[in-house]
Amino acid sequence: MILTTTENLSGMKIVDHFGIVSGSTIRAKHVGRDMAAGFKNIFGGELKGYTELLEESRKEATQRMVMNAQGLGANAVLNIRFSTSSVAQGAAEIYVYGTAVNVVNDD
Amino acid sequence: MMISLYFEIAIFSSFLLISYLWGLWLEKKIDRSIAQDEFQLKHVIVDTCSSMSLNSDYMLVSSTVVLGQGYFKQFLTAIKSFFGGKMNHQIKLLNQARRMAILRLKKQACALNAQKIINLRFETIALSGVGSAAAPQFVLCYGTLVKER
Repeated sequence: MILTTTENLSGMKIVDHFGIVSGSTIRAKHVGRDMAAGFKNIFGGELKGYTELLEESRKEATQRMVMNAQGLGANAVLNIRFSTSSVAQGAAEIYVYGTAVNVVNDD
Repeated sequence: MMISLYFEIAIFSSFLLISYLWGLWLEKKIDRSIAQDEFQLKHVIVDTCSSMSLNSDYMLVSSTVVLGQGYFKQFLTAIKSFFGGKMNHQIKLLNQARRMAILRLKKQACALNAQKIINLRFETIALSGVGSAAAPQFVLCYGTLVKER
């Protein structure tokens, strides 16, 4: 599976177009972690727990998008964009979307 | 009655002073480590355009950074949002978070022996509910890694 944020792939030709595919997750840490992060926000600096949490949710959202694309029979997703929003205390939604296509080598 | 009030004010202002000094030190420390990493990774080109080259492999890469505010910055934000004006301390924080996010992408590129990241994009939100006046900032940075075959 080829994933890119670009509109096309050089040296490749798009032969099939499946439209938009997307994946999203909303994850939260447990209350203890939230309190620890709130406490750490008093001191400043990086909140590693939240960085990890959002890293995980980004990976999961991407994986869901890839599964969506594979279900359609695509071998690449082009023009991928991420979108984020804060939904609740210490929880963020990560939404990832792109265009599923079939590509072949140009020669 | 008055004595206890003075006492409270003294505690509050000393707390503010400590957090100001701590925040200053932390900011300098993060700035130094960013500058050092940027110097080490300057051979990796980062671009917001999608200039492609033939015979390359492409791969989606992304990185996340969550930076906390610190008590003094929260206090400053509360004051500034009452009177209005430029929030330079927030600009500094966000810039630090973005530079850290780019550096993490560059490190990933280095680990995969690639020299170029194209079509870079940023997403930024405040993680509301964590802490009081000013929430920690979350930066998501993503792009396409170009690896020559």
